[in-house]
Amino acid sequence: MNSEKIAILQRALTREKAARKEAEKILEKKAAELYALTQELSETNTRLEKTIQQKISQLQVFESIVDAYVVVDFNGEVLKMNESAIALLGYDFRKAPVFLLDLVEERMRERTQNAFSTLIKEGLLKNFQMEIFSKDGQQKIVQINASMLYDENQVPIAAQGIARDITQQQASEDRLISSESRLTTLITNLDSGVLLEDEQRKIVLTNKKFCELFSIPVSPTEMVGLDCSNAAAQNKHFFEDPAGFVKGIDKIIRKRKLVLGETLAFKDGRIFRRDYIPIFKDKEFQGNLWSYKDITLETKYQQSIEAEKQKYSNIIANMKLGLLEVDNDEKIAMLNQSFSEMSGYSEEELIGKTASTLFLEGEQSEVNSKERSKRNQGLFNSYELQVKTKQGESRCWLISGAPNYNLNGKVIGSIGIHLDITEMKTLEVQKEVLLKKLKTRNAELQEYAHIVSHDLKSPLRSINALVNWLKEDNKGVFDASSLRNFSLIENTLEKMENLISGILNYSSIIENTKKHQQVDLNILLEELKAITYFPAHISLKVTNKLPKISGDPIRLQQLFQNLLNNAIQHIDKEKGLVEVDVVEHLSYYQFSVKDNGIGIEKKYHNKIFKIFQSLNTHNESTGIGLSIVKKIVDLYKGEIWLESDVGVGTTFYFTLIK
Amino acid sequence: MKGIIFTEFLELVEDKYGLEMVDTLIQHSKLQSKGVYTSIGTYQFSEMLSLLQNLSEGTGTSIDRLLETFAEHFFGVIERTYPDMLNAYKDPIEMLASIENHIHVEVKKIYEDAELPTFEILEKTSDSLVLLYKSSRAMHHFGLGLMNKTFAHFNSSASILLEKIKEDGTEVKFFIQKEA
Repeated sequence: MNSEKIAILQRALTREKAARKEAEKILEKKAAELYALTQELSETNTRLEKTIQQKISQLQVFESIVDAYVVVDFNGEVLKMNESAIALLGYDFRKAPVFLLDLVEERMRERTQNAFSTLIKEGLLKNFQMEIFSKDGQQKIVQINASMLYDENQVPIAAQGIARDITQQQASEDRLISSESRLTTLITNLDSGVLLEDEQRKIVLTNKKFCELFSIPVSPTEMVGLDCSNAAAQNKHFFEDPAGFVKGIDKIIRKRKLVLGETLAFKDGRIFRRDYIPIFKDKEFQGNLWSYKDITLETKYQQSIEAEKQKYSNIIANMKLGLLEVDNDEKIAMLNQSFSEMSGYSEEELIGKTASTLFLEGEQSEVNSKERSKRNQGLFNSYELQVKTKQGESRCWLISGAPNYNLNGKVIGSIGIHLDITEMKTLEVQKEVLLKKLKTRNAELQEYAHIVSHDLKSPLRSINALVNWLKEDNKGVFDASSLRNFSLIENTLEKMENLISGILNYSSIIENTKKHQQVDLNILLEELKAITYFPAHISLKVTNKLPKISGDPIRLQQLFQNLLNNAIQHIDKEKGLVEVDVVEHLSYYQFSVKDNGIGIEKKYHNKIFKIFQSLNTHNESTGIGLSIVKKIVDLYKGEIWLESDVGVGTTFYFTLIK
Repeated sequence: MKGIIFTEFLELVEDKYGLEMVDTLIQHSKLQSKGVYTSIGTYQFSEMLSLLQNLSEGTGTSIDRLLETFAEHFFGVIERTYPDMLNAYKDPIEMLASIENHIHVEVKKIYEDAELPTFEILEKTSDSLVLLYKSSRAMHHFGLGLMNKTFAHFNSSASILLEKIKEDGTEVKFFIQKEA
């Protein structure tokens, strides 16, 4: 080997050595780096272990959670369960092994097993619902959320799950659904038209009635989803005030406030009631609910009731009778203007007050409470009360009361109508006093007339006796002139006596219906003919058959007697004739007494019926006879008049009611 | 540049031209490492350039030819050291197409400071591939050698044409056509 070759080899060797050393250096460095890495790894491991520990302790947290928590192995055997799970299932794994599948009904096993397989494969099972039977045989619906448990090598070792009892929830959901369907049925058949819109004004729900009311030719279900934004404008022609209707809807939609009981008038005369209900859920607007009801009929009824009420209110307010309504405690509930005027109190002073304490004193209160208890028994009554007005004036009221009933027919008080009869009462008392006085006066007067005529007659008789004695004692002494004077005195005395008798007769003519009886005037005339002095030249003729008349026979006799006497006295003809006749009319008889006497001048026709009016100085004429005739005819509500030709005769006519 | 390239290169030079040539190269190339290489170290690329330059001058063989030969040798190193990586492929085109996405990713895992060229796929069919090589090292013929050996490894052959996009060889297009 030459030196050249040795040098090359030496150089190569040197390089190899150096390379080895460098490699070693690099390797050492790498080793150091590796060591550091190992250290780091071990720290990471420690941290990981800690995390796992935490996870495990979290499992213990699961055990104490409210929901049922169960850990099962791959066979479904329970490895762990918390108190909630024991309570839910009724089984306790500490007492006897529990297999999940045993809790499931036979027919549900396959489904459950599939779910369990999914859990093992995917590691998770969410919201799995199943029916189980607890130990006491109760069926429960549970919702399960489960996941797999892994060991440190990510190998699944068991499954853990939380079971939630949703039996109640399920039941309430079922109830909710059925109540929803009931509500829908209810709305569908409601007598009001209902329209429910969502927040976009799209129809969510409407019913048959709504379509009917607005003459919409499609079914309510077909309406769902339609946009109502223009519905107001499209339907405004239905309404009396189309612009107002559109404006009203816009305003309501804008405000989103509850509006109840709006009335809308239709052109065709219908009247609708509209309710608007904005729907909010958690303060968030959800939509509009409209309800329409045809209230045309109700409105008309109401209007006529209102009119009636107005009418009666007016009557009550304006009538002169005081009206007062009290409750069962006699507290005043209502009164009218007249009552206020009668009592002197204003309405404000009376409402709520007790009527009896305001107006009544002493025994009047007792009368009142007696009458009130009658009304409480449902009786109507009417009675008089002495009351005191606000001014302290004592007044007499006539009260007609009636019980007041409520809608259920229960007595809730009474209504009384009050009439102030104080004046009437006074008048009545005055009248009674007057009547009494009049009676006494009449009696006195009659007595007086008797006394007067009797007392007047006796001096007359004395004078007559004395005059006769003077004539007897001086027979032949008195000359013819003196005797004529004596005769005149006697005539005058007789006339005087007649006059007094006439006054007595006249004053005793008093109507007394008690003495009325059927009087046959034919018999009466026969009797008169017998007792009346007819001179020989005068005859009486009764032309027709006379009727029977109801009356006092003495008065009727006086009537005819005076007329006959009057005729006899005034006949100046050689052959006198008195004719009595009768003409029957519908409701009365017209009698006539005709003579052929001297006749009466027209100007005296009224005068002759007045007392003491005599047209001649005939001895027997007192001037009272025709007055008595007139008085009797007046008494029998008849009339009397006469026709006369001076020198030819006179006819007296008079009527008597049948 | 990874030390394994240097050690394998010098080993190949020693095999082909003898230890004397190795000594001459190291003596003549002005090397910072003085020719002391260990496969696990990392060295300046300029040292490789000097070695190649001197070998080319000393043997009269072009640098491209030298690189191609070196690559064919180096493929054997890969076959020995990383058989699993090659076994992952059944087809040479597939393997070449995944240089960028798979092989270089794996290389980076082992040699995190490795400076690798990029092979961009321009066209690809089941039996043809057009790749764009980019590297400041301009060692395209090293790639060519590896590619030839890849086809040989799968008992296949291919005609591979190179087109320089840049004159300095830092960008080169590879047209690879698999032969039936």
